[in-house]
Amino acid sequence: MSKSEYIITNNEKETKKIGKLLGDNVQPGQIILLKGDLGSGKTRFVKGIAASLNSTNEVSSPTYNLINEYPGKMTLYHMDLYRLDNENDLLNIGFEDYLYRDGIIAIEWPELAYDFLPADFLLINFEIVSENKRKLKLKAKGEKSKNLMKGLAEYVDIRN
Amino acid sequence: MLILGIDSSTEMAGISLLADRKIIAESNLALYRRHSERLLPNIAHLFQESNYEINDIDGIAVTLGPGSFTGLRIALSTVKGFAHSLSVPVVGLSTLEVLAYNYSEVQGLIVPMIDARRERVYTALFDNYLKKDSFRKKRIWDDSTLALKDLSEKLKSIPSINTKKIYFVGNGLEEYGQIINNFDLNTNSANPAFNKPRGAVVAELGENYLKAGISHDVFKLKPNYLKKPQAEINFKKIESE
Repeated sequence: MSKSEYIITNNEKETKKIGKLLGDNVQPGQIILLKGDLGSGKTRFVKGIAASLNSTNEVSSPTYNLINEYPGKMTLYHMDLYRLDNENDLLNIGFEDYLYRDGIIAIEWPELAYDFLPADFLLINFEIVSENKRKLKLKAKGEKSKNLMKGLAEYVDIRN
Repeated sequence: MLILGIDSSTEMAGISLLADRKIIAESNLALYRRHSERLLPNIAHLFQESNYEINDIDGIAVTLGPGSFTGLRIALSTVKGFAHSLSVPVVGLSTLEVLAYNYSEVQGLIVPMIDARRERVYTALFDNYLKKDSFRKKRIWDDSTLALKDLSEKLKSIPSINTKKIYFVGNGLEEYGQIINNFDLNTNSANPAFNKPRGAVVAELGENYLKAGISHDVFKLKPNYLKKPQAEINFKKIESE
């Protein structure tokens, strides 16, 4: 695990663009964990990933649906675990089955899933710096996620 | 006695009609994630082609897993619907027992294994060296999820394991055959056709249970969805870095 690296975005559009660049470099089976307060840009970021994968459906927050699926070049599974109370709830929505599909899995409010995750994921912490400015702290664990970070670094200024 | 057997706990969808231990119809299809679309139409097709009616059945056997979460839910909710409307007894079976049952007459230890991804398997152990009157009683280990290296260690800790033949069976073998061959045990493999749970085997094993007077309260049956062990990740540490 390298120490954390970060990207600064100045507005929603830039946050979405980072998501798109990440989508351009992603490999099947990638798990992306998105942490951060409401309005910090998590769903905006996922819209960027969806745009990269040519998903035709409009991305909306899955807070009420728990899991949204977006078919595209690779299927994007967008989850929001905010409303779940415990690990049993998580198992009862079939969470583990999704982890082993060849799609991209983006999980907002991922804390409940920690015990079920394989040791390869990209964790992104969204921090609100000012009204529009965001700091995206990235941590990659596992080979696949570290390669994704490397790919992204060729297009984006990732600072230490 | 007409038994309907249903399994959709892995990528396979196995269904069968068995009349007094004779196969009337059987369908085994690799459906992967299309179980929800295909299970009911395939059952309907089986009845149409075999000139039986769903009302003719005397019992249902269904696998409860371990296996794919979605597949298990689909089979069990379908069976609950049938059992409720037809008032027939239901037997819930371990998918691992169904796999092991293929080898119920073989002298050896039987290790059924279903792929749980990333070098882990759902597994159990049956000891055919035991002279028991039913295959069910030869079970030594409950169903559990094990990393392959832990399975190897666990098997090696069995007393006089080197004098025993071990038969591995299931789709875990297709995925991890090489690793299992390197276990350094007296390893034997199943014929490939035995590596999938099959509808007729589900029905036959179910009939054994029913004839032994064993059936289950269908409304209390639950899928046996085993949690997969993961590498322990210290998220506190990761997040504080």
